[in-house]
Amino acid sequence: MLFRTANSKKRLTAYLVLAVVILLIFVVVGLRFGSPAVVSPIKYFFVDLTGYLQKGLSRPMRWGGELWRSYIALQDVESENKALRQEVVRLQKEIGRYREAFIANARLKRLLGMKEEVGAPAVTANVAGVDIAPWSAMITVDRGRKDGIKPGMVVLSGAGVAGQVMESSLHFSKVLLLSDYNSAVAAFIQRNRARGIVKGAGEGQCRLAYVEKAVDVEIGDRVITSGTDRIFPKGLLIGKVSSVAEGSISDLFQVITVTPAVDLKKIEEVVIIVTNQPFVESRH
Amino acid sequence: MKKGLIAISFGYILLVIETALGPLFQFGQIRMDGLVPLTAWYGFQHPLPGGILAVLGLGILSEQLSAMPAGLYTLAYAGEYLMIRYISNHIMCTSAWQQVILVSFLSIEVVSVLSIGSGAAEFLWPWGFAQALLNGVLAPFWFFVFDKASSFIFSEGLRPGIKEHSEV
Repeated sequence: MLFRTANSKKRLTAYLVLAVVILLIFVVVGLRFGSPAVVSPIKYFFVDLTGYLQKGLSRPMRWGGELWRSYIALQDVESENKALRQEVVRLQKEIGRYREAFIANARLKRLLGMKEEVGAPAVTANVAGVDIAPWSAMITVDRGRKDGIKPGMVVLSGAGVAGQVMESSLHFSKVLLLSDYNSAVAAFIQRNRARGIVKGAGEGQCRLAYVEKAVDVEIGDRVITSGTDRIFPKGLLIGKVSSVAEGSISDLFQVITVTPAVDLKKIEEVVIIVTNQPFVESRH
Repeated sequence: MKKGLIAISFGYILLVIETALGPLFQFGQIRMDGLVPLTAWYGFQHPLPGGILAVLGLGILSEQLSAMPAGLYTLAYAGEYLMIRYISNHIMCTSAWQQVILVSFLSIEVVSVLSIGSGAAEFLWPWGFAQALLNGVLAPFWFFVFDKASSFIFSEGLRPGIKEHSEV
């Protein structure tokens, strides 16, 4: 009898725990989807705190990378004359710095060009962190509500569209990149104006969905934003078609792979278009 | 309570390192991940009902640093914890190879929930399984690190192989 009571008590505890777990999951989900007024300050404080830590940690990584590129990788020349080696190291170090500055300059010029091209106020931001899931394409950037950033704002990089702002705390924002499975952008092929939706396909790639089989699509066709989603302004370069397949007989649409113009795996700086108004097709 | 907070702190440190230096630890579509082994390590030592709270905390923290749909990490880690609580009553898992197999098995559950739930089911093969294997292979290292770190924090330390008590 005692044994049975103990057993049923255990079972009851287990059921209770399971119920609490399920309840908590629903509470978490509810808080994410519902009004976040109660949890927002805590959540944003957490995002800010983590952002600063990520930024602090990613900076030495960049320095380490630069050091590796400009100094450590040159240790092979040690077998040569010591004086010559030191001279080579010094010069290479200098070249490395110039090269880095040159690359950064070119990148920033492209960003500046983008800012001017869009013709809306924009802020530049550095990438502070990435998503914890390797197949998910989300980055954290070091600009937030303090800089006027809000969810839904368009994010560009050197050559074209990078993604859109998902969430922003006071100092940091989360950006959903084009290649994420949850990303979708209204687009068309520039050459023949065939419309579709660019969806994330992981691994830095995208798919142009809902393009009928009768439409002529060629490898190398430029895919640009159509502006009909009222998020992205019309005419921004998304990428180029890298493969086209008919798909099976039952498929209504072509299977089109788009390689984004921006290397989403190596993105370092972005431009965020700061606007309170949604981009409407007629405005462009 | 204190041990739960320590586990959450370990998790937070791992999250910050993994998100800030992620590309350094990435090979193809897989990445070195300490959170699944942390949940397994914690699950072995801390029974229900108190243990689950820290795991839920870990899940909520993870969600703040990911674009995954809401609740997925919480669900995946809670599932892993419940599985490890069930398993811990039936087997002893003291040697390294056992930890490798166990964490690989648990990782498959976590990766399946995350990838299928986020609409990236194609990630499961081969990358998801490779990720699970990598988590498993690195599990003895992580267990060692967590044991050492918790011994350092608590003066008496957590003696490996001795569980507080197991109820479920």
